[in-house]
Amino acid sequence: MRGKISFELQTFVGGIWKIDSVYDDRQIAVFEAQRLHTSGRFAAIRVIEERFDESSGRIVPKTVFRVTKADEANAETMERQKAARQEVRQARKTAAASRTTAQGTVKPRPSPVLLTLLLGGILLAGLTAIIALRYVFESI
Amino acid sequence: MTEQSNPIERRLVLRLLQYWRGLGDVDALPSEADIDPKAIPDMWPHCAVLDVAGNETDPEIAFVGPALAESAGTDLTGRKLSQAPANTLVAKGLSYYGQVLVKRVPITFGGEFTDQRGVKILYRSIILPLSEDGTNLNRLLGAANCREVTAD
Repeated sequence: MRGKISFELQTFVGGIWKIDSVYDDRQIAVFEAQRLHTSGRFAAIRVIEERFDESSGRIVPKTVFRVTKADEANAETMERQKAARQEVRQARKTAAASRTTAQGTVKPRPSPVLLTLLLGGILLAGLTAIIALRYVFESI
Repeated sequence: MTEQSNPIERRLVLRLLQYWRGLGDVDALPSEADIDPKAIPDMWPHCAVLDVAGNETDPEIAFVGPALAESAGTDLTGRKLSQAPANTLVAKGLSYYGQVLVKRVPITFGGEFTDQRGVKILYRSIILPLSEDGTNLNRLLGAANCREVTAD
């Protein structure tokens, strides 16, 4: 071919990469690769750019597009995991919000000072009652 | 035919490639007999069929569609490809047939040339391998279309 760049569309068939078609235009090559991928017939598809290096006189290959069924499956799994994480995060937020709401309806506890005074009062009343009883028994 | 909204997808070369992919068996090259011109009425006028069996170095033009023939200005049916006038869509669009014989896969190629009227022509073409027995190439299906590049 006269052009110095060509794009080879390759398909992975029976454990080896096979040339499917050749293009001089990257956009067309990648478009066709994507179209073949959606057909689901191949485990993997790639587009190799082959550039002729005049200085070395050699063809320099470079992968410019690659897609596999495994990539697609991995992407789907990652999407599912992401959605699950978001659900968990949302559930935690909802639970935390409901706890806050529930706490808002509980009656406030009595202050420690009030409790101390109440306890002191009870103790004082008890002591007074013991002393009073003692006098009563001594006077009998 | 499904609606094709993508400008790339509407290209003749990709539509013909998609048609060719649907011919014959999955693991075998399609044959010329598999092609139904009535199924591709908009593409067939832009097509040509080259006979390469025994003519690998200079294929014989077995068929040339009216749109391609018009660009050549003469009926090339039965002639050798080398007899196609230079700087015509037939000559340019089918010039790389040898690459298809070597690689045995579809090849698309585009470019520009100045035709015999001195008008700059932008073209895109495709050559697809055909086989009578599914393995050995005996024919090539080519197609090309073009547009004139007008000076601004």
